[in-house]
Amino acid sequence: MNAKRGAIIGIVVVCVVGALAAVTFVSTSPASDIVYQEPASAVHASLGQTTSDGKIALRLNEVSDGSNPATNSTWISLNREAHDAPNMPVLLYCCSLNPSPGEANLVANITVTNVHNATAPFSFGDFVLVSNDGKAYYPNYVVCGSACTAQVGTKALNASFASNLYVLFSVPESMHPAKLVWTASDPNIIISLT
Amino acid sequence: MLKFIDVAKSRQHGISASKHFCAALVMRIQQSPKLKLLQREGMSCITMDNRHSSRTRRYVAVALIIVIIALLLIPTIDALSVAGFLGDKTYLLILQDNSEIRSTGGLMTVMGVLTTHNGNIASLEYYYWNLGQQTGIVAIDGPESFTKFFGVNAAAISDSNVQYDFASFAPKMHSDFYNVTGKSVDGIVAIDLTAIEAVMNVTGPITTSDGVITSYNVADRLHYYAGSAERSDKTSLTSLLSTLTHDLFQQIRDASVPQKLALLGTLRTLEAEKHVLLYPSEGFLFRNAGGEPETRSGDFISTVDITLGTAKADFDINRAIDYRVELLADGSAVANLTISYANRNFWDYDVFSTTLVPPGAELVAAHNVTHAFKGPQVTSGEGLTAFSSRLIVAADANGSVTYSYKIPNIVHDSGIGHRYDLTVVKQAGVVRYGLNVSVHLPPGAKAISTENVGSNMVLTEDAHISVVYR
Repeated sequence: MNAKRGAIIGIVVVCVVGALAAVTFVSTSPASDIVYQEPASAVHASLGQTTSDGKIALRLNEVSDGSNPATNSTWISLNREAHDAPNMPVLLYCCSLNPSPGEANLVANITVTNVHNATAPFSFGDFVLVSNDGKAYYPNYVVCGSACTAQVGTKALNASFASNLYVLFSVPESMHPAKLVWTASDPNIIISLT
Repeated sequence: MLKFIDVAKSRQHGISASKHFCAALVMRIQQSPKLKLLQREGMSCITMDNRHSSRTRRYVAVALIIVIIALLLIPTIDALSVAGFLGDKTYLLILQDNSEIRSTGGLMTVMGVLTTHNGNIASLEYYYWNLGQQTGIVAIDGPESFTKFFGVNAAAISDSNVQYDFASFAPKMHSDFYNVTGKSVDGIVAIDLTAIEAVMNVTGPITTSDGVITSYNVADRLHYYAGSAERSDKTSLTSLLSTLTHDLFQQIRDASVPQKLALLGTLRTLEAEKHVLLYPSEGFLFRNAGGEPETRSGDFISTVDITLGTAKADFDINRAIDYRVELLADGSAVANLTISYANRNFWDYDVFSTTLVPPGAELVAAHNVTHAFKGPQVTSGEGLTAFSSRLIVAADANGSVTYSYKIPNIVHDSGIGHRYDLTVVKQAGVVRYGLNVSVHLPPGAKAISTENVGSNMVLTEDAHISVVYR
């Protein structure tokens, strides 16, 4: 009987420990960590190089931390421009670039040009920032000049569109960006930061 | 000492009262078709080994049985009820944007009517309330601190959450929403952006037509659509929210057992921190989700902020509460309370701040360090005194207001001496406060015990402070 009791107590202990371990595992492994699966075929480019999918041309100028004074200054200036412009749909300031605890705010400065000679669909949500350990992070927000903001807000870029976009990514503090991917084109455009 | 027995055996050999009690409880479960699945999934009783039985052990066994059944059964029934397994349920789902703080958690520009049926969403319709539109104006019948300060008696329904807590606001919202939309709901669920981030941190990302939404970007993306969508009904915002709600619901339903356990733990934390609020309180599982009015006794501080048209500022506001109370020999106290705001935004922060303190409190002095200030105004309510001020804190600057006041009869006799209790109530939606509390005893008194007195504490839920002295 003692052995039986011991077995039952053992099973209960194992179940409790297992459940606690499961809870701990799930809670300490954020489900938002997504591994980027690079497609078999892609167009590759490097920092500062312009590349195009036939409709949109992209040039990644820089990825900088929000604590960088120049980045912060540009961010504030463009937010104010969007907020103060007459007849603009954007009525609010987004956010300061102060990160939440444990996070960092990275800003990708991208020159976007419509090379299609017609209105081109565009969503800043199609950018992906990939870390050097292969994890994918998705955009939070975008700011640009007032004329640009109106078009980006409607997800349609006029034929003559050309502007610098500042795309915000909130990432873990320890994240090191390795590449920026434009996923709206087929094949994807992968821009290396090195 | 303990062993599991099944009901049949307990009835065959059933001698002890505890076993009969256990059998009766489980038979009631068996007779309820809605609860049979619980019994099939291993509901059993624990009792004491017969060879060691005694009256005391039987009582212990009965108590254990009751506790285990309650722990398993009651939350399960609550969850099943909310999910629509025990009859369809319709909820008013309020998204409180806690980056624009309001009394009950945040600005309520988006609301949805959600009906659950057998664990699925049977229907979901979101509403966007444009602050400029003239529809959805509702009467405001208090609190006096707000109506007197601003001289108003009506507001847009999206901005009508001016009561001091969700429990006071929800019944009014229940009837206001019916009057405005003609839709009747069984209850109200209010969640803020902090809650959505925390839940998505467990459930994982959601892919929408506008890209991937994760716990890292969900708040800013919702703000982007709220600000950039051209149409007054904000179709892109409400359609994104519909996708998020449906997919989150499905992810939660299909989650693995460890994920469900993690989610339950997350929800309990969010409930304690007032990022998830439910009216009416649903039984045991959601008993603390804001559906019941808070009981205030002893000394208390409850700061209730409403931001005034300063955009999505509150995630970059660091709040702190500094409280110094001097207890006097006659049982009264002299208090100095400073509410501070560190504004890390690049624009000014405009806030209407009301601080609730015990009834009978007498304001002696107030001073402020702000860009602009209006107040203080003193009003009284049921069981409280309210100090209200409007502060404008300049961009990248600190601002504060300090109230000095007397509190009568705040110390009570306990068996071994005198006892002072303080509750610091966390406002729903606010992520955290810094908290510093110092308690000074009457001359000659000696502390016997103290709880949570000190500096640099972080307040994420209600806090209780106590000092016993003689």
